Amino acid sequence: MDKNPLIAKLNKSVPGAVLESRRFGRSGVTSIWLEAETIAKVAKVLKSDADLKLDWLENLSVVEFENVLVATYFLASSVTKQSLILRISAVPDSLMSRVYLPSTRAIWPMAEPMEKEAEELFGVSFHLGPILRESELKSNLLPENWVGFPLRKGYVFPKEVYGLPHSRAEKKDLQKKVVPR
Amino acid sequence: MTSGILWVISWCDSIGFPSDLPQWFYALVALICIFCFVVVPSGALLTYMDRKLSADLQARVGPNRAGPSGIFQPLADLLKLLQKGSKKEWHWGENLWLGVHTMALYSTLAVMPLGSLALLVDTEVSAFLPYWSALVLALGTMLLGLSQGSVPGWFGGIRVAAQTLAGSFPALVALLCASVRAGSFKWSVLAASQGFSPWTWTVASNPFETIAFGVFVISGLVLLAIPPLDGGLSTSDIHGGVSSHLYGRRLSLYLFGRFYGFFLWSVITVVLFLGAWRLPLGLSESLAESESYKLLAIIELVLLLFKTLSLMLLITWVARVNSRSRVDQITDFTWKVLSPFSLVALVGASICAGWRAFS
Amino acid sequence: MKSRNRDSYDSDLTLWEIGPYHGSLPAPMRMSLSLDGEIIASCKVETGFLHRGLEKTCELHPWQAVISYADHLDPEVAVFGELAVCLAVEEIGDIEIPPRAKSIRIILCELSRISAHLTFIVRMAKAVGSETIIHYVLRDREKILDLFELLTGARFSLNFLRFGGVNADVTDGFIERVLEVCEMIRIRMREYNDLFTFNQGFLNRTSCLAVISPELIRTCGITGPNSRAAGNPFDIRKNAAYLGYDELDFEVPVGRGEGGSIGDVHDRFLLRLREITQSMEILKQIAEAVPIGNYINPNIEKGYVVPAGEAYSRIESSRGLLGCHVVSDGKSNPSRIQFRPPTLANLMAVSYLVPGIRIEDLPVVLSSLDLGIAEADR
Repeated sequence: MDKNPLIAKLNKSVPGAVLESRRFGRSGVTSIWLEAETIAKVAKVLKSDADLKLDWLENLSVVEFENVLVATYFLASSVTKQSLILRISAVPDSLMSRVYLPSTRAIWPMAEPMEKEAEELFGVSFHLGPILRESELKSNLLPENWVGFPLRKGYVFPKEVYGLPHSRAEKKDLQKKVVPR
Repeated sequence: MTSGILWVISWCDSIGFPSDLPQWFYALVALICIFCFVVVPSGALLTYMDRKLSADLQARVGPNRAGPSGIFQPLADLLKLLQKGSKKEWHWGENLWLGVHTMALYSTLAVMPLGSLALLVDTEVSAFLPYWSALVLALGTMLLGLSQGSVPGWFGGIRVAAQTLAGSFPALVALLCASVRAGSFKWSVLAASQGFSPWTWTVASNPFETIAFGVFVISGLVLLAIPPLDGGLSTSDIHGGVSSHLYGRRLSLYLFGRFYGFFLWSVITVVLFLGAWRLPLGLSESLAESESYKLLAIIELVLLLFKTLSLMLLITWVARVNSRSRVDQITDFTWKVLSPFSLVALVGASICAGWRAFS
Repeated sequence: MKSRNRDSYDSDLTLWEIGPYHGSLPAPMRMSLSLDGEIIASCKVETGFLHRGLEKTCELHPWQAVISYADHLDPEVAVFGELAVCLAVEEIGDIEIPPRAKSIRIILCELSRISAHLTFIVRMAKAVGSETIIHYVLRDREKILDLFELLTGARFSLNFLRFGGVNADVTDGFIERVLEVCEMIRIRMREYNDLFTFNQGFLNRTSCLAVISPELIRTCGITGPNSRAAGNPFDIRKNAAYLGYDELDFEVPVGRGEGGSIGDVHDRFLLRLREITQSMEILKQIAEAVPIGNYINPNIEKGYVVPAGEAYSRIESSRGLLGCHVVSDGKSNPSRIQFRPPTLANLMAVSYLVPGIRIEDLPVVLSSLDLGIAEADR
């Protein structure tokens, strides 16, 4: 895929959206860094574009690079067999604070479970537009009232969970206490 | 009544009981004998054969620990279930179920046809009594489900009720078909209208009776929710439904009730359609003349039980290899297919009977 | 019956919450059904009961240990999780896989696929209450597990793939035994068909039930056998071949609507039977010519540290497209390993498929979707 016309097109329809375009790893797929707030608009353009028809959000992966949370959208098309990777990023204020990114659920409905997962494990909340209904799929990966976002790099494991020691070292101490030699 | 308990009287005399005992005493002894020496052993035998047969079908070994080839497994199971009492308080709904269930279980023992000499009650409406008892048994199962107070119980109970309602109509009509040919609802007359050879059985007398036989067996399975048509009781969405909270003694009672319904229905089917207890070569007459009633009763009983258990095993076999139908499919089938067929069979059987009577 | 909310007072609907453990659910999940009589009006699905923190655990361990954790992505078909990680790491490190290793990997993958699909038959049979077929299928699956044991020493958590190859070479006679098992299953498949597939009772329960439409595939992003049964011939093994699948001659079966409509439960069942046949086809071709050479890239040392970089691998697991996004920052532990399990889409489809069916069909529909909760919750 020739990327220049694509970027020109994106710049034309959503001005200021594209920050950078580069190759993803060793693969031949283009990855485009976007201004976070423009992702929903870009998504709309990419889905409706006749040459691309990127109608399938195959994967949404959130990664933390040096305190920056990067959401990676792996896109594919069921019609034109094209694929593309979009990336947006946000910086959380602290370990406990959430970051907010626009949701693409309206354009790619299959984003829902993945967005919810990122929300729980990374503290990346995807805010919905006003029209969307609350969904019928619910995921409760973490126990109730869990503090913190476990997949962040700086996450500190709790010493105990519901009265049970958590880390292995703690458990060993406990065993020593319980079983006197 | 008198002829029905002749064998009991002769047996009691031979054991050494005084000979001037009242009739009800003999009737009671007869009931206990039938229950202990016919129904319960048949249940054990069928359970064992069912297990061995399905194990064989499913590439398994089946029971092989209790006794040679696991022959005592049913006994071991029974003892285990009996020693497990219930810790829970009885719920009034369960009491109701237990009452109805017991009633249905024991009330029909007296009318169960087990041979020409073992007919305790042989009246003009005899053939209807087990039918009603099957209905009561199904009602009891429904009550059991409803008394559970859980969603599976409710759904199970209502599904069982729906199945029973659907099955009872064709069953009744098919029952009439057999009686139209014999001209009576008396067990003795129904049996006497057939012979030993399969060609003289009701089922083979004309095509309409064959249809009636099929309808009677299938609608009985629907009525009593017996596999393969047990969708009301055992689909996995309701965890086995009505009986899911039973265990120990209550479970054994419940399971026995299920077996008894199946057994009763098969016995009636054999008596109505499959030649009852008729022996070949005038054997019954000659034995009766020589007054060897014991031998006659035993031979007839063995023949009847053989036919009954074979029929039951055949049904179990079909159940093992087929998937379970949904309740609405079962009721649809019963209302839309079985019922019209049963009516056709009744009209046809009536015409045949009339034609025979006039020609 | 258990709980009523205001909605149910207004609309005569009953709320029934089932789960996390219930006979009609294939795995720990919770469903709140609102019922109109026996018909499900709507349903909410809640998952997460099997969350083990797998992705976090991967980050906490050295690279080599990640493979053994990837086993538990989906314990039923362990090899696919391993393969997804290995392919991504091999792309980052630009590691060449010897042809022999590729063949062994394909053998493992296809055997796993057959085993998973046989398990699927078992679940379907259980859902419709057909006992006998269960025993037959499980007996035959044992043979495949025996093959795993012969090759890897384990029956479920294989932990056999390594970066740049596999852990050990095939033992003598393994290939022959693979062919024997293929032949056996080919014969047994006929038995299954006689006994179960075209049984009228089974057809009645499954045909025209819970039809997946092309639109639903687009909405939820359904992949794998479920989408192929609905007529969408998408298979990563063909569309973006890995491990040299493009050199093999096999077909991608699609649903034909034998049960009445394309994409119903019966189509999904039949499709998996056809996939078993295709997998055996692949196994035969592979077994004919297993290349001679190394079973692992000799340049990869034991404590191999993946260079900085990232990659996204896509493979076709038994349930659909399994993606794996691996990020390395050049340290001894992975920086991020993220899986894209196919089951997420299938779970999303449940709330579209279930309304309108009877609750007796709920177990049938759920098991026909082949939900792998372990990989959805991770």
